[in-house]
Amino acid sequence: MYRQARYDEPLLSEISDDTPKTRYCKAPENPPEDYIPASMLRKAPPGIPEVSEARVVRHYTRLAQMTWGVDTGFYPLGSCTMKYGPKIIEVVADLPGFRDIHPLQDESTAQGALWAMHELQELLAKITDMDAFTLQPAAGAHGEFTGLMMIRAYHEDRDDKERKEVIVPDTAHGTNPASAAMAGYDVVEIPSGADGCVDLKALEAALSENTAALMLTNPNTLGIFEKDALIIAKMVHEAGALLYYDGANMNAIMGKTAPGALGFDLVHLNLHKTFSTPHGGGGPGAGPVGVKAFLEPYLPSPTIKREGEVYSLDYEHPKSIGPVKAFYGNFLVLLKALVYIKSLGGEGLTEATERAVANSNYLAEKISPLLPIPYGKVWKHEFVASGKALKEKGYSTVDLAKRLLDYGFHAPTVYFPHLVEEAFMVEPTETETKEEMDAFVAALRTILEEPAEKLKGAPTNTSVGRVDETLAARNMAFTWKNVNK
Amino acid sequence: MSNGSDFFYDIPEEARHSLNIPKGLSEDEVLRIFSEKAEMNTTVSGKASFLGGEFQPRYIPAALRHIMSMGELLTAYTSYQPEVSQGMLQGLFEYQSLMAELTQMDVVNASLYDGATGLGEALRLSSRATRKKRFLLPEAMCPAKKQIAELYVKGFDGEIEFYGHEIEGGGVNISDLRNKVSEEVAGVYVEMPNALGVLDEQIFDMKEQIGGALLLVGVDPLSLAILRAPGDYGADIVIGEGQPLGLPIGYGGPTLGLLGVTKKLVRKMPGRVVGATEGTAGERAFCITLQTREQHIRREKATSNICSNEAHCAIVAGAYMALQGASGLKRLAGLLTERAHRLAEEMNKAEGFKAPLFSRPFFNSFAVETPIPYSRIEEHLLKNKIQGGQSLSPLFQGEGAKDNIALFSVNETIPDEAYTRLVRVLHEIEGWGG
Amino acid sequence: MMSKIDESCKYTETDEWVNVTGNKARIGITDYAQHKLNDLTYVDLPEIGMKVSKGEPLLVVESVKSAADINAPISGTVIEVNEELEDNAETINKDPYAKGWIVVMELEAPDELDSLLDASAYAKKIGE
Repeated sequence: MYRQARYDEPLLSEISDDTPKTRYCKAPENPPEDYIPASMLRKAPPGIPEVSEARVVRHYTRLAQMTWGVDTGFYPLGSCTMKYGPKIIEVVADLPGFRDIHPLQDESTAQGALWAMHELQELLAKITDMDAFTLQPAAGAHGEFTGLMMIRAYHEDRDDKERKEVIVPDTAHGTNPASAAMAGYDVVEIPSGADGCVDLKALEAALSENTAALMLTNPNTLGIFEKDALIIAKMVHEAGALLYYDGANMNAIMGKTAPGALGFDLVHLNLHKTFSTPHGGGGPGAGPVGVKAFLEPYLPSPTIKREGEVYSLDYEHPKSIGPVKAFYGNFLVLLKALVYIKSLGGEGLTEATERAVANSNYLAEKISPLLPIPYGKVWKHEFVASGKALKEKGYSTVDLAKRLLDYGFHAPTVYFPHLVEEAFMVEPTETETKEEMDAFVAALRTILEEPAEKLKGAPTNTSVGRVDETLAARNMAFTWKNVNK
Repeated sequence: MSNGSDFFYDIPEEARHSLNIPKGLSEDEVLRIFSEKAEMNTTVSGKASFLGGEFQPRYIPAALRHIMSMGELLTAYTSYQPEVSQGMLQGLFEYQSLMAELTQMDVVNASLYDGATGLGEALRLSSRATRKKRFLLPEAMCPAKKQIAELYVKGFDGEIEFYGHEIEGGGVNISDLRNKVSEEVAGVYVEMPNALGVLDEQIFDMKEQIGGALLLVGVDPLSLAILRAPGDYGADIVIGEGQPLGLPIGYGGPTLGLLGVTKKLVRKMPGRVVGATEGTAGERAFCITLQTREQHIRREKATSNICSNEAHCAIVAGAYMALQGASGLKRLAGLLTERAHRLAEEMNKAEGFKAPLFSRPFFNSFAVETPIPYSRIEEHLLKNKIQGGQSLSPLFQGEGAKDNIALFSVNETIPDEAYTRLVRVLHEIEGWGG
Repeated sequence: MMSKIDESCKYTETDEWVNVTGNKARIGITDYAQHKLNDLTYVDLPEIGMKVSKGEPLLVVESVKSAADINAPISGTVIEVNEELEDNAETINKDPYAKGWIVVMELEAPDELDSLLDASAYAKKIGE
């Protein structure tokens, strides 16, 4: 059994102490009123509490101890690729030469940083079989928006303005339709076939001279390789539309196949998934977008250019959709991904994919007798089991997920994709050992023999008991002003 | 695990792709190579560098370095299982609360990507709230931010019009703005400080002058330690770049997008938000809430496509505010104000320089007019190992284009010696320029 | 689970109820629907005066992890909304046919009512 740290840690606003505060900078000689008219200054200081350094450090130490990370243990959250990232990436990102440089400083004084971005552009192009990359997007969804705006620019540039629809399969990540809508497209959702893959008939019916693009992730969110990938590409292109690759599942195919080889025209990657940069509890991420040569003119500006041994920012993109983010992207995240790629090399990345897929199939084989896996015979990096039968025992997949927390495992993704009833989506990643996966299966087996009350009352070993999300939605308490002591 | 099976047999032969990239490096090799590359970059912290604006070098307290490297917070995913993520969630809730105190807005979300995309999202939000599609933005604004705003409104056929600034004061050209305000306008965006470094008192009663349009205010959150808070002068939406709150400058990223709104707008707001609730025993607990706005539930009807945000940056900014306290933030903001004013005064003494160029008050940055094109001065400064301010010529294009205006910014890491050296070099320029 | 059905109402295939008095119709969602949606947390009420045609989106009801579009069962104008729901969406869960009413509409085409289901047809539709 597991026991998470449990502190009744007060909010910062409830802590104040008399300990003298550490001062981090000199005091000014004169008050701000001497420089800025008093009418522009705030009458009362902001309600930011005065807490000693010692107490602040203890506060965040306790918060950290009440947080499950990959550093804590197994995190088989499907579609999120929660692999362990080697700590060297943190050391490199903390080198002052990378950490303390300003995006506006003269290019001649930032050659090392420009080298890193250029190197990453090139390596990502090779991994995905694309021709050019932008590193600007801050996350996967941001990459999708960027890609779709490029698709729009491409069609508009060709005076092909009637293409108002983007097709997404019903198993697609929610970001796909949301990004398409943000880019001004109507979303056409197509149902999956009986095997969980794209139904070619449904696709054919949906494709028309109004189609701007099809967004696809391959392997799909069921962890199944889209067997008709090449036919799909042909169909989409014959309709005059473009094929977009959602790279969230790239960890499944490195060194085996690539979006370019599968006929995709553009792709976004989630560096915080496949390339091991830590997810930070929600971000920062990075979502670079790669394109085939014919889309290169539309890439966000600037890109990084190399002439001999000199690197520079290239703003000469007359057809560019313009920048999509301040400066050059989440640079330190990009740097971490580069360190990861350089550390593993081509063979290492291929091995990472092989292990991730082997782990997934091993776990699928062990889990399927306990929870059926309705789609697929062989899986890539993840698979989706169904907790449908649990209802007969008087509990649901959520209860199972919560009970797993008590055993010291983060729960898999539940209730996505919707195609699978009571979905239980498992992605072990390559960095887990057989022992860790066996322990997970053993816990699952034990739990399934427990009485329903145990599961419905779970979790009990975590920092708090089951959290009332309905109350949260009704309370609407977003700051400490709305919280009672 | 590898049991020798081929799990890739279903990938067609003609779609195979192997990786033609070099072999992996050992950890010591990696560190050596990257250290060499890092050495090629000139750092700005603790040096004679006068770049700033929205991205400012900041002294990062040692305790903050410690907090930002805590592995559990760093390697967590989004808190989909709140029971094992209470620390992360409480930290984000505290960030939201601290930012709400600074901005005096009802609700601050758990972060957007950065200040620029935050503006894009704010425009989309204004349009959803007012069912209008027209926006007024300042002409004197970072060009990349303008382009990003244009890109974000393109998706719903929004329209952006720009209003001018006062030639002398550097603030909003009110008569121009009034002429452009109409019933069709969804939102009016103002910046405080603006891209010219100016603090504009006129913004305090802007809300009454824009009819039914929403007031969108772009801020430097650090400045709010001393300046009036936008929530107190009628802002409907507050956005800004959160990097100045203790984040490494990192060549411009990762960043932190601040978004604050009034209670009325909360259900139309983009991005995640953490709310307080209870666990089974009635204990205090936190979770991500109002999720029905988000893409994983609402898909194409979501308020935004944002999923991953900048949560860890928000945690760090929150910890920075906690370490500083209101008193420390005020001390720092006061110090920057003082240093900027002293520097402007000294620069103004150099022949042909006008600093500050604009008559309105300023915080930590100010515009300077130079006697010769600024690019030549910048070059000369670099030769003297000084990184000058940011050229503002991209803001003064077209008719009456100017190439002799720059924005100089100060920060607490600049050594005293650097100020005297900068001024000395500027005094030398009159001899060789002209 | 047995769902309650109010004999005095008419029903849609999509689980809304309509209770007509004169040329006004009170509208809500059925007991069956509220069970399916689970604990409701929010109702996005339409504005008074909104004109809507039958089948067009009228309002949205939300629980923690779902949002359901409620389409207009009939054409007309919204003349009243249940403001009580603004802070207490759960009233719909507790009392879907009475205190949990959502809007009142003025009918535009009364003959549309003929296309709605009566209580027994609705009971059959939901399998009870």
